[in-house]
Amino acid sequence: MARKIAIIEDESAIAENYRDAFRRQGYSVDIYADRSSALQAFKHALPDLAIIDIGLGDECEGGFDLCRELRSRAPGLPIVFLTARDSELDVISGLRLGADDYLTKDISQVHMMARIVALLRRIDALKQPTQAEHIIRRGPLSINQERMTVHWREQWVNLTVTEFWVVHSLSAHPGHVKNRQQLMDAANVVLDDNTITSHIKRIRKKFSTVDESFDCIETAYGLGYRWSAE
Amino acid sequence: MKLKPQLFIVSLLTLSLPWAGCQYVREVEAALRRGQEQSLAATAQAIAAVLSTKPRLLYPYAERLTTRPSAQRQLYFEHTQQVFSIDGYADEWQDISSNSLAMPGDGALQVGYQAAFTQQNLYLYFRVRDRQITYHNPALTALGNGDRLVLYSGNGNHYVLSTSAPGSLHVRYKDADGDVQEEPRIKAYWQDNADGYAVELELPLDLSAGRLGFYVVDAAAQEKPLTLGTVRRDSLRSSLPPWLVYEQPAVQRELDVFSMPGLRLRVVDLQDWQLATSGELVTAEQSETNWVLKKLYRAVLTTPAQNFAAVGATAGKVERGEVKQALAGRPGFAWYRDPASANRSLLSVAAPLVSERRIIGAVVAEQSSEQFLSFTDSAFNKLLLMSFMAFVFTGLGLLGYASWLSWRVRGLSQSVEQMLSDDGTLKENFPHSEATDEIGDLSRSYEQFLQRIREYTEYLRTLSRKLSHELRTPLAVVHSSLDNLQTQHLDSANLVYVQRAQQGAKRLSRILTAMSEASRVEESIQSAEPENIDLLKLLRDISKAYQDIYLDHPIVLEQEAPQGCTSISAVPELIVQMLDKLVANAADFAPPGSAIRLRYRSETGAVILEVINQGPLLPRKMQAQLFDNMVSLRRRDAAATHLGLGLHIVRLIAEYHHGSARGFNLADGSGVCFQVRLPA
Repeated sequence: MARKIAIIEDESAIAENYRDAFRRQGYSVDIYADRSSALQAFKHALPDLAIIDIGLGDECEGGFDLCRELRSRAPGLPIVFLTARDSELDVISGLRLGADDYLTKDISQVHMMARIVALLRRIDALKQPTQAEHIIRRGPLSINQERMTVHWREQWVNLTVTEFWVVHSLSAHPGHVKNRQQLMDAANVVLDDNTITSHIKRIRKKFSTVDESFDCIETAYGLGYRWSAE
Repeated sequence: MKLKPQLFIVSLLTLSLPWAGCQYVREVEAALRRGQEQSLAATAQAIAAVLSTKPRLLYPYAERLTTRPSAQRQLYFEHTQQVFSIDGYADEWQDISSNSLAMPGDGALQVGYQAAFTQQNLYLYFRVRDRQITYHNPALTALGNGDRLVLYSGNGNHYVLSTSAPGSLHVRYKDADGDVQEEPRIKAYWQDNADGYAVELELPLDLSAGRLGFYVVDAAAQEKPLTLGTVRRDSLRSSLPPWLVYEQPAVQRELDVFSMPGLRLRVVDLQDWQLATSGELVTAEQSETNWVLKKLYRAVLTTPAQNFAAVGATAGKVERGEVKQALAGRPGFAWYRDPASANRSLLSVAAPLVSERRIIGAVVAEQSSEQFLSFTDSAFNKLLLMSFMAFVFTGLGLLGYASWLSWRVRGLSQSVEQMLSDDGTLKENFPHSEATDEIGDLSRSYEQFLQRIREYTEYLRTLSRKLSHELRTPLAVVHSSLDNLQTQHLDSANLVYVQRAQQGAKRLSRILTAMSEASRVEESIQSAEPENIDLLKLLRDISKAYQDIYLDHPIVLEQEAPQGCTSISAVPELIVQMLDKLVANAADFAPPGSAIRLRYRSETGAVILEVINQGPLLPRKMQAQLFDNMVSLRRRDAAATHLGLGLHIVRLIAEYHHGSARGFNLADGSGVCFQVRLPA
């Protein structure tokens, strides 16, 4: 049975373009132009993944509200923001509201598709029992590639998909500097340098909540970042 | 011209106050003059009234009034208290005015004479210029045959004064019968001198019968004798000599009754002869006024042009307009300039003397203007003082007002200047005035005006961001449509166009990203948290990284003052971003192969980062604006898109760290230096 993706987007041309792309990949797609019609539909059945624009019609923050309501109703539902707004503030608010990813509309379809697929795969993997062969260990760090989860000193670190891939890419070769472009490629995102910087910052912060002495991600000024081998 | 001198000049208008005052003083002076004219005229008329009852006093010989005046020269005898000794010397005659007669033509014979009257006697002194004196020869004729003086008296006798030798002489005359008689009542003395001879004589008034004339005979050797005098030699008894005129002490005594200090009274007869005079014009200056002020205000007052002459051209005559007018029957007056004091004027009033409906003379009263001038003096002093005070008061007032106004205007212009902050943005809260006048209005219009400009610049500042945001959605439509199109089975020819469209769309995306970069930097600055970083280590790392990126340019890291503290509190990502922009900018301008120098220096309280390239110099005018938003010095045809945001971001970051950024040409002109100064 085909996976159901809901696109909540007021710009019908974009919504339909994405719908066509997803359909080609074999997904079933529903389009909602505003918050109320989406909520109405979700009362009956939840989709497998929701792609939400922040500005919906007259509600310029409608996407945030919708995300909050969906998250409260279905904690496990993957939610992705796809929006023209690229300011740091919006990214932070979106992710705080519990979205799994935040994509800007600059993203190419190929990249977007890769991330959506990865996200869905993680959801699937989380439902499967843990398999040892998918786990990579780097000192106190353990990465489950299948479930896309990260543990630090046996404690779960709540990372988004993008963050997961950044950590995954950095820790694959400890001591090697990864530049921003490499990190972007790994995460399937097209972002400017600042966004990578803020991703790194958020990752550090998330690790720090688990372990205050965390300092494995080092900055190589002008070059990129590296995972220190200790 | 500034406001203050302008108002000072306006305050000079108050100088019209003294002018108006002067006009007023002139009016007062004119009124006083009229008053003086009237009072003096009244005095003159009163005296005339008294004298007109005594015509005998003026004319002892009453026939003189009835006979027509003769054309011949009259002798005028001044009254004097002098006692004369008849000795032929001129010692006693110093104060008596002198007359002279001369022969027409070569002037071979000249006669000077003086006449005086005292104690009912007439005195005469003759000075005859004669190159050759011919004495009387008694052997020839009895009456006189040499040089001689002849007096023609009112009684018809020709008294001959001649002598054979200098000294006291005998006076002879031919009586009615033709006999030569001596007249002992006439005393005379002949004195020779260098150029002729002098004769001094005394003659009782009675002997003249009111008439007298004289002539001098010069008996030259071969020629006909020359004669010169007031009457002709051949005068007959039928044409008596002209009336003599003498100053009469009796009339003077009448005048003395009316005399006052500073007032001179005179009586003139019908032929303008002065019959009597009383009183003196000269008065001591009474006012105590400072002489400078006196000179000043008398210069303001009008002075008559005519010079005053006490007597006319002929000694003893008062020939003046007002006297002529009075003799014609109407009282007259005139103002004269006092020759003794240039600023003083004299008033002369003449009143006719009328007796039995006949005009018999005139009374002349003269007075100096000094009397009322002393009054106008003090008025002028007060005027000067008060107008000076008014001038100072008004001047100070206007000056104060001007200072206040210019202080306000200056305050306004200062607050407008202060509104513009160093980075070119407009501050808020313009201190507008509450005053209801025009300056207050101006201040409020400025406030509105600045408010509008601020809104507009704010709009412009956010425009790029809004624009990039608004464009992003349609661009996403293009992107996604092209992506979809690519999945369709297109032939290779069509695919080319799709790819080109995709390239264009990507380029648009980059432009939009660049446009909103500055505002995103501002956002990240807001959420940035500074930490202690080792700036030197950061520079070492990053210069290696730049070397990998900019293969065309050697990156040289220079370090000065290594002992300085290299650790500063900063946000490393922002510092790196700032250096990125500076180095990228340098690489764009530096000629290929030339080094880009990163220089690190530390001063007390600050570290200085400099990025130096050897590219073209900055235009002088643009140096201050370089770091402003959307300012670019690049050529238009440059391949890449430049929005002039790079250096703006540099400044944002420098200012976030409480530092500053500037760009300048190197002193030796070898390149351009961009300098960032950060507090340590």
